[in-house]
Amino acid sequence: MQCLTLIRSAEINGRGVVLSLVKSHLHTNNEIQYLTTALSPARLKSCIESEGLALKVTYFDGYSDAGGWKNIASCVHLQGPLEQIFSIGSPKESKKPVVVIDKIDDVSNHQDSLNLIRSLHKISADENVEQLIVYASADCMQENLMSSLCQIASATIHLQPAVPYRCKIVLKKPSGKVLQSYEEFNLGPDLTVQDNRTVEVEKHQAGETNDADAILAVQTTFNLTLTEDQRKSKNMLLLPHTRVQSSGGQIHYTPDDVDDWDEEDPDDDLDI
Amino acid sequence: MFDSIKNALEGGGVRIADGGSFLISESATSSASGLVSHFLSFGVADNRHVCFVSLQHTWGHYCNIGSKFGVNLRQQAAEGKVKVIEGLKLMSEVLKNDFQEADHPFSFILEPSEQPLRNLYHVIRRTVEPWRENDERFVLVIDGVSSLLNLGVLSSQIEIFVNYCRTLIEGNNNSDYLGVLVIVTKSCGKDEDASLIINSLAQCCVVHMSLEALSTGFSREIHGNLRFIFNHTSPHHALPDVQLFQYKMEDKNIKLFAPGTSASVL
Repeated sequence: MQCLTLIRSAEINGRGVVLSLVKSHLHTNNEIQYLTTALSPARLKSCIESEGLALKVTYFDGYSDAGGWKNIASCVHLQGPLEQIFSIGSPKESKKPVVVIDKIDDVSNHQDSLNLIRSLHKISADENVEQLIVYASADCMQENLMSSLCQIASATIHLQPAVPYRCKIVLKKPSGKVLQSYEEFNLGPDLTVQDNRTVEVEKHQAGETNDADAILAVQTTFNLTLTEDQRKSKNMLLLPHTRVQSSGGQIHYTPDDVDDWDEEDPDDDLDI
Repeated sequence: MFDSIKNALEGGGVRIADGGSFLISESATSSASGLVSHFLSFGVADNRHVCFVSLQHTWGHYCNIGSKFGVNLRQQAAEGKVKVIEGLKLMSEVLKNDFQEADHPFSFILEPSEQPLRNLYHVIRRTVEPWRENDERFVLVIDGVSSLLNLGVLSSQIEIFVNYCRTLIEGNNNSDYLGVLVIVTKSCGKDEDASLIINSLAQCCVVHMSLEALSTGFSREIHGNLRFIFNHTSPHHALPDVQLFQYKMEDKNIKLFAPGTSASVL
């Protein structure tokens, strides 16, 4: 997949998964170009090197002077187009670089969302890039930017706060088919993915709280929701007018003593 | 320095002396002044330089709070151990048009700028730079970054400013921290910008201390909830550790206890 987006929230730190992806690429002898905005390259390097990873990683420092306030030439300024930061060109060897952006929400503070998405699209569509890995925080970005990011990604991993790791994976195939699955896994001491398994998760258990009923239930003391048994009873109830319409009805009228009963149609004079 | 706060932090494996970024969020009905005094008194007691940027209250307010907790901040400032950057005073200079510097830290109030907090950062940097050059440890406290939202500063610009302040506490060899950065901000669920700031800053700090008033009202024995959210730097720890305490502000102390164990209950 060309563009892989890893989305975290405030309740879970997904950097371990990012480093696991980096490590798996290093094992296949790919070159990594890593743009870091939240940790200094030295601190990130100590994090990667402590896991015994190979040193085929080129770091771009988007942390120390992201806005150009200190005029440090060796640092990357995040106001310009992202594709101009990385060294992407005709690969001298057969291996194309893997580009990692950690974290994209820090980059979005420095430039317009439209330009940012355009840059990401260019990098992911570049034939000289093996893969683009984007690490994002869902609750630190505007919703429109997050949705655009998910749109251009060919695979999105939404991390959920759970132990072991639980994530929702959305995979877009080249044929246009979209696959969605929930998976659980652990990270081993060497950051390799272990005990990977697919889980069946109900929609409400997956933490998707956008359901209007759930929102209403939280906001009022009245019980506006139905249990499963109540829903079944409600569906089985036959309303009186429904019963009559299906089986036919009769009108029973008992005239009083003072009624002048005759067989004439009272509506006969109407031109209906 | 309050032993209860120190013990709560060390219980989560965090020592203030090791440095790093600390985030304190307060609500409209709970004040972080006690915790601010804790960090200021830590810096003084540990013989560190202290740089205090006050954006929300006057320096006199913090001195009064500190004196209630037994810390004489005025004397510390007079002796040069605490350097104070009074945001309210600087803002009033701009509003009265009583400044000559082109790089006044709050000149953006009258003249819009694409990078409004750049000058404020440089003022802070010039204050701590002599300490950094001599490898001397220091404490940098910035109280009330969310107040900048009221001046028209965007949340993204505040995040950039705080990230730059984080670079000031990095050690020269980048493997340890030379300083302690304490950021205080307001928490409000209905304010999207304030929530964005907290969500962003909470992810890059060592500890997020969240002060909330009791949801059911006021109590004589309990003044609010204090939640410690410890973020691990190791890539193997994905979930932060959360510890919830209830607190009571006393004369010269902050008392912490587990929920449900206050004097009024026991």
